[in-house]
Amino acid sequence: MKLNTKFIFPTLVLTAVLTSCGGNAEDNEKGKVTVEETNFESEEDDFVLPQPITMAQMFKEAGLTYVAGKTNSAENKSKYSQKIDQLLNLGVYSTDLAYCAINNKTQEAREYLVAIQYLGSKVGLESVFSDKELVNRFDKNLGDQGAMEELIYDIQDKIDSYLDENSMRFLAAVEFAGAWTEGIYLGIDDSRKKPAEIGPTLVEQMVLLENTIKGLKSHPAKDDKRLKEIITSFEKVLNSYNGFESVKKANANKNFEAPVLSSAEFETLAKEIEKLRSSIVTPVK
Amino acid sequence: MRNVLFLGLIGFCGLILSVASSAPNDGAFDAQVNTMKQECKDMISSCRYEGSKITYYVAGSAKQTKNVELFLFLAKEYQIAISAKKSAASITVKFYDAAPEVKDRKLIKEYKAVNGKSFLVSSDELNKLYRKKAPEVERLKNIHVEYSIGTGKNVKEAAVLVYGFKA
Repeated sequence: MKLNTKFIFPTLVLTAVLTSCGGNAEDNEKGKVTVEETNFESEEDDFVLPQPITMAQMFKEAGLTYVAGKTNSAENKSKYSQKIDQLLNLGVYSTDLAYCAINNKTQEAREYLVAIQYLGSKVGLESVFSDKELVNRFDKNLGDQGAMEELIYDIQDKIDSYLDENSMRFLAAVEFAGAWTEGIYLGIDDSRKKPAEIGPTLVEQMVLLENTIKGLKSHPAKDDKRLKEIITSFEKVLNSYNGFESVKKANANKNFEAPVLSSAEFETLAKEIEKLRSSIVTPVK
Repeated sequence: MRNVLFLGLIGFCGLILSVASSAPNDGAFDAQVNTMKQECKDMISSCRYEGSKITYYVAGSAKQTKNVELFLFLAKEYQIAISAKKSAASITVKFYDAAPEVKDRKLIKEYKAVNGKSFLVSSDELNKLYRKKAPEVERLKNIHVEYSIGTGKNVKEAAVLVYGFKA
């Protein structure tokens, strides 16, 4: 997202004032990083990223099969101590929840819902997830796939509204980065086995990477070491992808046919994604 | 010299406080935006919520454009609700098939003078119009909504977009 230079000074001053007053803050391991986003004017070019469950639905429609043990274990939820990792894994678990729900793995889905509630409360979304009715509603709808999917869309709606009302949209961008990575990761194995069916869906979702990086860069804690590392990792994937001959030849209009990757290009991308995903889900010591 | 520095410091602190106190924090405006968003959600109540974007602007003395990119990945009917109900500046909303920098991008549909109004558009309708211009494309998966904002008072305004798809 482009920074509106007209408002740099007021933003810096406002941030300085809030820092001294102990205003809205995001904790960092080594200290406190104070952040404040002004909604005074939007970027000239902005975007809406889709929901993690939509990306999972795309794969399902393309024939992606459920593989037990591929998702990030819900038991890892308490191992993420930095805010950036909590947000990223909130996204990872959102995709895992969707992946299990649309494949009728209700018990696993329930575990991910609990993991999402846990990490949600860690990143400042307590009021969204404090609603005990959420799990009750989930339990009531066990076995009703449509109702479960509805519930997942409703949760994201609640998160979006809360972030909008509290000028915290930049948090959603980090969450999405985790969700996107997990979605692509889950599609890799089937893309190898069924390149004609799953491969195009995986490549279709690559168009979200550039906006994902823009979203990560919109986070006000730009000097946070972990955030910088994560942005660099995502940029590495994008640079690799954009360097593929098939991608260079593709139409810039995203409505036209997506590039068809060669086997070598696909393997390079798969390795980059696996590395990126590992750097997100492996707890930082 | 020390007095000058001290006065300078006081002046700077005053500036900080005055900027901080005049920073945008208009509860009534935020409430209006939330109402607009809720109205948009109500307009697509038959849909599953996919996302939303509130576009803020200050009309001022020069015309400006703002773009919002949307993804319509699923093979479903998407509905897009837009509200500019509280906008005084004139607004035209254009739907394109690509970003402004893409050569030969196509205008799919245009809504003129939507300030003071809200409206709903369906992907079925956009696809129908688009197929006439790009028959080789099966359906729109990516659209760019462009707000052309006219001149107006130097006050903060917003346009709200909410979209979802029919399950």
